[in-house]
This record gives sequence, structure tokens and C-alpha cells, in this order.
Amino acid sequence: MRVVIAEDLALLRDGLTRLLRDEGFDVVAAVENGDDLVAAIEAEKPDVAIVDVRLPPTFTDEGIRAALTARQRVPGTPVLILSAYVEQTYAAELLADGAGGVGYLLKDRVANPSEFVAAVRRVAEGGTALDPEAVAQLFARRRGHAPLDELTPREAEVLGLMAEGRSNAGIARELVVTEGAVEKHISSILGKLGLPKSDDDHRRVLAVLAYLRG
Amino acid sequence: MDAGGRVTDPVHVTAATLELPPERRSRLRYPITAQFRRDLAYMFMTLATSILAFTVVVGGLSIAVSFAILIVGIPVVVGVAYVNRGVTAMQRRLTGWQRGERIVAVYKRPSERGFIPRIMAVLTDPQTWRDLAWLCFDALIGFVFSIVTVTLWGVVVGSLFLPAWWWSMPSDAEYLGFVLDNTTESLLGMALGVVLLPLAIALTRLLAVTHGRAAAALLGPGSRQRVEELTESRAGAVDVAHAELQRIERDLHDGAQARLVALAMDLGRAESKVGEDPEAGRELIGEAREEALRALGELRELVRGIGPSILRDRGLEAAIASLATGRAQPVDFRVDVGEPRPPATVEAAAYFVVAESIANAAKHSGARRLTVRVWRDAADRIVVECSDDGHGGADPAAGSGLTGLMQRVRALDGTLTVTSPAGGPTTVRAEIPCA
Repeated sequence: MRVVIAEDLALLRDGLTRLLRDEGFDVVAAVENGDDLVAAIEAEKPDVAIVDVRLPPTFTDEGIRAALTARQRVPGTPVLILSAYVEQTYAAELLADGAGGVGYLLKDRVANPSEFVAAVRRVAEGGTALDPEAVAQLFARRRGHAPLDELTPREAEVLGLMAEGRSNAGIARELVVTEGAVEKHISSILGKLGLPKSDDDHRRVLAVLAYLRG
Repeated sequence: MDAGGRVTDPVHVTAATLELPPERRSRLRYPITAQFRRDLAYMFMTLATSILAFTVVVGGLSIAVSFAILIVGIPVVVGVAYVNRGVTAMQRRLTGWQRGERIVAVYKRPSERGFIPRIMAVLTDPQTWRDLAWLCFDALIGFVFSIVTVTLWGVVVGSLFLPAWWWSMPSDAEYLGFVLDNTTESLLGMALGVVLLPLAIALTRLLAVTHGRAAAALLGPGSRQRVEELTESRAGAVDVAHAELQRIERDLHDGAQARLVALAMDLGRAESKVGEDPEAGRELIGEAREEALRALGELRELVRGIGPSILRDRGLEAAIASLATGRAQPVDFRVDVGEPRPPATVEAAAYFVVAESIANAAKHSGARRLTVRVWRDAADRIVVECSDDGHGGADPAAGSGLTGLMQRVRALDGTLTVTSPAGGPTTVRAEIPCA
């Protein structure tokens, strides 16, 4: 799997490169600013790009903007954004084109290599990886909202994992239950929230996130 | 008054609030005809206020002087000063309305509770004497101005309608120097009215502007008071900055720093264990990783208190939009602060006012919807107004986040007013100067 990395801090850039190489990824380019990222994606057409939000020269949301530009130039390029903070507006902007292959994770998540690598693969395959903290923020805002409060604690947990972009199998593994049990929870949740059932994982994530964002 | 109670301190309550909605912002505060109506009404009302001012000055001074030789004279003088404050408060409102701006009263606050400090505060307050100077000005100059205006308009209106009423005059009556005895002459009078009309309009504007300017100069904060207020809020700012630094230092010391120490310790133990007992070594490494993650989490919390990343990245509108989305109670917001971007501290203060108001409304007020308006007024202040349809009763003194907001806003020389009558609605309004 071919990867492009954009990260301005050499320490993190080298660390990420090493981590991904250890896991069998092919890091084809590791750049340090937004313009180089766009160029690298156009040249290499990688399977996934891993991008820090804050890049020179502005050190604001350069990474997001470069990623959006790159996805216009090379449609469908999966992008995983890493950030020190969760800002749900940025996640929404990335998801807005509906093309899938989007991830938005806290930088902390690299501390757990196996989960991080699983998220990278999910994004590369066109799925979604939304940080649990971003999901928790969305939930916190909807507290007191009728249909959401009617979910059982287990269902709320499943909904959270769905919003993160996990597949049924992934949810079952996380909660240590069978896939059948997960499916039952999911159909109950979709029923309570009035969302359409869909076999397409990606479309399901979008529907859930759209619902949570109100 | 304590820090929380300052929310309702007299400085903010006596201030006439008159703000322009964001969509109307021009050099002339109002369209010409509207401004003219205001000027005219203002000058007519000045007739009343100047007579009132005269009464208060003459009455008040004579009472004060006759009592001043006795000790009881001092409270009487103070009482007179308070009456003056009532009259000038009304004048601030009136002039504020005419000028389309807010004229803020800055009176010295008593340094402590009690009768004597209160008297001292009144007597040593330069604004007390500026109030008196204003009343004298209004009683004399204001009276002359308004008499001129009223007379001139009487002549203009009378002349314009002369053909309709000249016949009712005695046959040898003179009108403005000529004897009125036929319709032609009355038409001449009417022509005179037409000529005088623009003069009357111009003079009304001139007198209203002059009178209004004098009122704003004497009744608004003077340069020395400005300095005192600034020193006071600067001191507040230093306090706030210092308290912030202490908080950050403490948070770092108790949080991330302690976690990193524990992390280094775990790693050290793992290093010595890894040869003899690889399993225990692995466990320690796992613990070290958890410790590092907790340190990261704490650092993130710490930085969030300074302001969210989207505010630095994209400014107030995007940050408030981000706050408003996905709420259980819909937030109707309109943000228009224009260019250039306000200073970062002002943006952060405005942001936290909105964030706190939304959080409070969601938690306490039982509100079903919220309205947030943020704009830049003519005086280059960022005005934040958050209102909800909840049941009110918010008490800023009750140690809520409002007290912290108050300090944040005051440190920037701004004001924060919370109106929350029992039964609602609650409105939080902040005005923060950009410069």
C-alpha cells in the first residue's frame, strides 16, 4: 500500500514513516508543507495520504485546504488528517464531497499502532475513520435531544462506533459480541432515529454523521 | 460591590443603550430626514430640559449654600448631587438618541461600603462638578438655543400659512415690518417663509449638533476619568493575566509534568526489567504509553482554555458556526465583524461569551432556541448579544462562568451586561473595543 505523508515536524514525520514501514506500507513521499503535498499526490497517486492539519507557511488549517485541493485534482484520493485538536467543522468539510476515504484522528492515536494502522487501511479502502473524541463532542451537543436519549447505553455505544466508521465486524470485535448482535442493535438504532437502512458502510456513516450534526 | 455584582453596577445601568443594527452603518447615523426629525424634536425638548436644569441649579444651589454652613449641609449637598445625576442621566439618554451613540456615565465607585465613603466618592468625583457645569450650560445656552429654534420655526410655519390667517389680524397689524392688508402681501409673507425654511433647517442642525456635542463632552467620560478607568481595568488585566499564568503553571506542574515523570520512571523500570523478565517489561512499557497519552490529553485541555483552533485559523464567524452546529436547541446566529479581523484577545473574549451563553442556556434555562448576534458598531466595538427563550433567573454573582467572562471582558476595557428576569428571557450582551 503506497502512502504519502505530510508533517512539518521531522521527529513525527520520521516516526510515522518508520511505523508505517514496519507495518508493511510503502511510504513513497514524506513532505513538510501543503504545496509539496498536492504535488506529491498528483505525481504519486498514492493509496492514502496522511496529513497534519497544521502545516507551514500559515500553521492554521493548511493541511485541510491542501487535502481538499488534492482531492479535487486527483478525485477519490483517500486522506487521513492528523490533528492535535478535534474540530468537527474540519471533519465535516472533508466528508462533504461524499466521496469517502476520509479520516480525522487525534495525533495521540499513533500511540496505538495496531488501531492506527487499521484506521489507515480503512480510509485507504474508501471507508471513514472519525476520532472517538470528535464523536463524543457530537454526542455531548445533542444531550437532551429526544430520539437520542431513547437509545439504550449499549445502542449509544454502537452508534458511536458507527460514527467512527467501524464496520459491523469491527464493532463486534470492539464490544466482544457477535456480529449478529451488532446487526440487531444497528437496525434498532436506525429505526429509532428514523434513518434508512443501508448495506453500504460508507453511506451509513454519512447518514449517522449528518444526523448527529443536526 | 463584589466582582460578580459589578454586572449591574451603575456605570452600565445609567448608560443609554442605543446601538445601530449591523445593516445600517453610515457616516450620518440616520437617513437625512430621520436625523432632521430627531434634531428638531431634540431642540424642542431642550426647551423643557433647560428650564428643568435652571430650576435644579438655582433651587439646588440655594438649598446647598444655605445648609453648607451646618454639618448637615454636606449630606444635603450630596443629595443635590444625586438629583443632578438623575437629570443628567435623562440628558445622556436624550443626547444619545439624537447623536445615535451611547453616552456612558462614569462615576467614581465608593472605595468601601458605608455613608462616609459614599459622600467622599460623590464630592471628589470630577463628574459631579462636570454634571453641575452641564446644568449651568443647559440652563443658559441650551435655553437660548431652544428659544431661537422654537421662535424661528414659529415664524417659518406662520409665514408659510400666512395666506390662510392674515385676515384674522387687526387691520393695522405689522408682520415682520410690513402692514398686512391684502392677499398679495400675505403671499409675500409666504415667500419669506419659503426663503427662511432652509435657514431654519440648517440652524436646527447646527444648534442640535453644538448642544449635543457639549452634552457628550461634559457628560461622557473626561480624559482624566478615562485614564483612571483604564488604570483600573489595566490592573484588572494584569491580575487576570497573572492568575492565568498561575493556573497554567499549576496545571502543567500537576498534570503533564507529573505524567512525564511517571512515564520516565516506568520506562526506566522497563529498561532494567526487560532482560530478566520480558513480560513484566512489556507491561511497564504499556503503562508508560498510557501515561504519555494522559499527558497529551491534559496538554490539550490546557490549550483549549486559550481558545479553539478554528478561531485562530478562520476567525469569529467560523468558530461561532462551529459552536452552533449540532446543538439540541437550534442556535440562530449572525456574525458580521467585517475587516480587518479584530485583535485575537477580542475575538477570544467574544467567542467565550457566546460559548458560555450557549452552554448556560442548554444547561439551566430550559430554552428552546437561542439567538446570537455579533457585529461591529460605529465606535469600532465588537458587540455580542446572546438571548434565549428560557425561564431566566441567571445570577451572575452566583459564581457561574459569567464572573470569569466579566473579568475577561473588563480586562479588554469592555462591558458585559446580563439581564435575566425571573420568567425570562435571558440576554447576555458584551461590548468589547477593538482598539
